[in-house]
Amino acid sequence: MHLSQALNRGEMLSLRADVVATVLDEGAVLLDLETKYFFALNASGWALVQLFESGASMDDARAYATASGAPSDDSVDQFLTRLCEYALFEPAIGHCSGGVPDPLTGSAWLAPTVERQAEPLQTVIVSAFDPSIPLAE
Amino acid sequence: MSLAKTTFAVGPVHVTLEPMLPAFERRIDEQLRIFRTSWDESPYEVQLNVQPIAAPAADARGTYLTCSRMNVDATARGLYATTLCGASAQLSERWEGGESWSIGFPAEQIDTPAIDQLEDLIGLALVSGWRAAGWTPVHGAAVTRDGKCLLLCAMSGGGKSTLTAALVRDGWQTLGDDKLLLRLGADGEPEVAALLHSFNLHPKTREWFPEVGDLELQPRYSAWTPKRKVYADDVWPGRTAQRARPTHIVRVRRDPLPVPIAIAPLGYDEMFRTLIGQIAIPNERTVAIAVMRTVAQVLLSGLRGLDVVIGEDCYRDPVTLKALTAAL
Repeated sequence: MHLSQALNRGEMLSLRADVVATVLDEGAVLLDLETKYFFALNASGWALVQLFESGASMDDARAYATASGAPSDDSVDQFLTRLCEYALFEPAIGHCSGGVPDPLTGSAWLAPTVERQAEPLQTVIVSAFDPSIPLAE
Repeated sequence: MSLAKTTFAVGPVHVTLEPMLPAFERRIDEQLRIFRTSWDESPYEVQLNVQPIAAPAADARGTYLTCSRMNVDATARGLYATTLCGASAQLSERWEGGESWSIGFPAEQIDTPAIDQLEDLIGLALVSGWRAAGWTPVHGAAVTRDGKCLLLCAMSGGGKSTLTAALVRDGWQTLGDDKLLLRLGADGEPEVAALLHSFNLHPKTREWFPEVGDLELQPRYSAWTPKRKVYADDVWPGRTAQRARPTHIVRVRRDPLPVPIAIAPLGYDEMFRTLIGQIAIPNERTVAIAVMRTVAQVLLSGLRGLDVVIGEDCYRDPVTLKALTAAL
């Protein structure tokens, strides 16, 4: 809640340092190394998340979405609120907006989505090789 | 104290043991001599120096990796790990083409079952070496035939070994039932490589595959499981392979189904989750990103996915494997 309030107050947020991403065919996957949850993003969602890699505000995201052809609805706000609820952001202390990058091209803008995998990866595993749940000895 | 250095070829890694106490050398020999596959490429060198220590080492907290018997931290000096008995491993030096580890083991624990905890520390050094050599370690099985290569993914006890053995009996070649290495080749295509051509089979397997013999007569390979180690060439000669290009991700699960086998397609997201779930990912950005990128690129090369639910006693019925091969 704290993060989404900060976002709504226009404060700058950034993707947490221990959240890593990889680009897929359409969109991307984030992995939160603290919780071990995966998050699947569609192309629009990934484009928005990239704004926050170096710090951005809600206004930056809205402006970017509008420039990319997004309709004037609350889908961007809802998307970013979800990311805050998943605690994927942190306050961007010392960051300043890098401005809005070039709009998304090459595909039609779709409402941004984020989907959290039902189960996280195991946090305690058998060995450095085997990610299974340890059996009782 | 042995005065000679001992070396082991463990896939793309050559392990050199500095002179050490015979008890340490015996335990490490047990762990490493089972790796019997051949590699043409220049090896990455991993030097291990194992010495007794007078007191247990200061505990690692597990900030890099938390395992059941071992915690690993990423420190300014490099990875530092400790086990439950107070043994420790420190990545002490890294250079172009190799690295060295200093391992300390409490002297008073050498003649106790805690000596098994050396395995965790040596395993960490191997994984570090494999990654440095450009490979991603995968806890999975693989079989290949006629240009197809199935990566069989399941948690421990999930049925990888038995399905692998069943497919090998059916004419497939195995790259291993537990430990594999995966990378994107120079041509951008994924490549899976074998590390050891053995099976970890439950003695009950004989009911379906009588040629494995009475496994109860053989020693357990771990106190954790009743399974026994069986070498593929000893039972099914010629049914091993060294490298292959993966074509299918097969998620294997056991279930007491009324039917022998149930097969369904696996979507892209499920394939990603399945394959990445077979890889130990530490809390470290560069390694995590490298693993995720490798898995994503492997899947983008056009792999197909299957969800395979194995029913109880399914291997009595030859229809089981026919259904699987027909679905490929």
